[in-house]
Amino acid sequence: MEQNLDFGAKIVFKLFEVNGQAIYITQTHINTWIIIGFLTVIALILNAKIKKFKDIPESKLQNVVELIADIFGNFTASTMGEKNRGFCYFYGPLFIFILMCNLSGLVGLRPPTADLGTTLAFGLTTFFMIHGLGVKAKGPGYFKFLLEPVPLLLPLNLIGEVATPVSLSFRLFGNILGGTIIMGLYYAMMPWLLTLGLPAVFHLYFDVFAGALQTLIFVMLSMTFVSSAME
Amino acid sequence: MKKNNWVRCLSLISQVGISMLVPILLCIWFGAFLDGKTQKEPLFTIIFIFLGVGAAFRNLFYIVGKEIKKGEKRE
Repeated sequence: MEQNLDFGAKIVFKLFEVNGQAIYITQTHINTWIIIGFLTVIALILNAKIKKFKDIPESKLQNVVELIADIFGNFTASTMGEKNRGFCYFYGPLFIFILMCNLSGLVGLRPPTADLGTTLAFGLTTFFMIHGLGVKAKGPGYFKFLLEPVPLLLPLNLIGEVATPVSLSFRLFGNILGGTIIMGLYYAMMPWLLTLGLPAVFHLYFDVFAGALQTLIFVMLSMTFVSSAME
Repeated sequence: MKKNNWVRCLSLISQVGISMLVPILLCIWFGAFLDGKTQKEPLFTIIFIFLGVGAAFRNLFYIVGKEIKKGEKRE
């Protein structure tokens, strides 16, 4: 029970100070960089191999890569409509990145998505995409929806819109942090014999199942909101 | 369209709950913050609780209304 039960992201080192406010590099940054590095290496290897791909697949790798690309394309087209299939080039990598963040708990890293900073960044990206693409599709008249059904409801509409990125980010953050805390408590409280093998079942649920489901839900909601703003 | 319909439904159902909760909590926090700044407790907290509840219902109607419209279009 003497183990450290602090579930916040630990500070690795202080970067600099602005007006007495220190800026730190935390576990979240380091783990995010590790995941970015890992994905970049895989992307570079695949990029080198893709150049050797044939029109008719001959290798297993080409089949797998084309299958994944097809799945993302079809998923995007079925959610956002065929004309928005191009969004799969944004949502596919976003899906892989969030999934990798959520699954990083399996290899002993603290998931970057268990930090509100990371998930709020994802939520704000969606928020700016919703309104940016809405304006692009409908012009400045897009913002008329804030005065509907009656202009008196403007404050409620504004609060409702601000709540969108917050609710998106809190859902992902809460689910992943919850799993991290429960697993941390389990390892801290159980005798060492019960920390062998058995936690795999909990990891399967909290990291793999909840992680994959929350990734899917985040990407799906982001797609739904963006496509509704453009319609 | 039907292929990922269950994911879409699951996402939207869970979104309805959280999108009702978040505006209320945001407004309570903001109202309490304004009360702290202006020393007029509990005026702003009460005003913003009502705004938050209103925004929560607006979100509910917004999400559900859009899905109903989409469903009607598909039919």
